[in-house]
Amino acid sequence: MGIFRIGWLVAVGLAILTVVEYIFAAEVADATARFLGLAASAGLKAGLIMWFFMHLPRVWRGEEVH
Amino acid sequence: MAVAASLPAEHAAHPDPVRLKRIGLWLFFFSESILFGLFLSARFYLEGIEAEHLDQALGLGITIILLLSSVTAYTAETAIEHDRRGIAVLGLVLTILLGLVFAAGVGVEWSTAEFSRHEAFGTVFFSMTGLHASHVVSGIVLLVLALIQLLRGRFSSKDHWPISGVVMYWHFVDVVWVFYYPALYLVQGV
Repeated sequence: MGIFRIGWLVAVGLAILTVVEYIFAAEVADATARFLGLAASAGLKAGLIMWFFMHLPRVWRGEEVH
Repeated sequence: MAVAASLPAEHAAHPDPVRLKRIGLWLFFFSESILFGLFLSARFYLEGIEAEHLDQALGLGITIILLLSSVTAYTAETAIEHDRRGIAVLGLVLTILLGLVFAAGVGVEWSTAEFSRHEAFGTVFFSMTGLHASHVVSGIVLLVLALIQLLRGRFSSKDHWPISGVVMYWHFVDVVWVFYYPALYLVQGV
C-alpha cells in the first residue's frame, strides 16, 4: 500500500490544518490577524492539494511521475 | 508555441497529448479561479469580515468530508495508475458518496439558514455556495461517468487520462472550498 502513502500523509496534514484554522478562528480576537492567519492556512492547504493531489509538477515534468 | 518550445527537440513536433490535455485543464482551472475569486471578492466588498450566524459544526463537518473525498479520489487515480482496478472502483464510489453527503450538507445549511437571499450576506452566501455546489454536482456526474467506463473494463496504467482529468477537477472543487470555508464560516470569528 506504499503507493498511497504520500496521499495519506497529505490528508493528515490537511486535517491538522483544518482543525488548527478552526481553533485559530475561535481563539484569535484581532480581526486582521485572524484574516491573515486564515488566508495563510488556506493558501498552504491549496498548495498541498495542487502539488500532491493535482500533480502540478507533471505540467512541466511530464507524465513519468508516479 | 510556448509549450512546444519548452519540449525537447525530438518531442517538439509531437508533444505528449496527455501533457497537453493536462495543460489545457489547468488553463480551464485558471479561468474558473477568476470566477470563484470574483465571488470571494464580492463577499468581502459587501460584508467586510462580518457574517450572519452559520452552523459551525455543519460547516466543519462538510469541509472534512470534502477533504476526505479528495483523498479517496487521489487513491482511485493512483490505483488505476498501478492497475489496481478494485481499489480504483472503491475510491471512485467513496468519492461519489462523500460528494453526495457534502451536497446534502449544503442543502441542510440552505434550508436552516437564518438569513434571506435579500440580505447582503445571504446574497453572497447563497451565490458562493450555490456556484460551488453546482461544480460539486457536475463533478459527481463526471465521476459516475468515469466509474461506468472503469466498470466496463476501460482504462489501465497506460491509458487513464479521463480518470485523472475528472479527479483533478474534483480536487479543484476542493481547492475552491479551502478558500470559501474560512471566508464564510471562520473569518468573523467562531
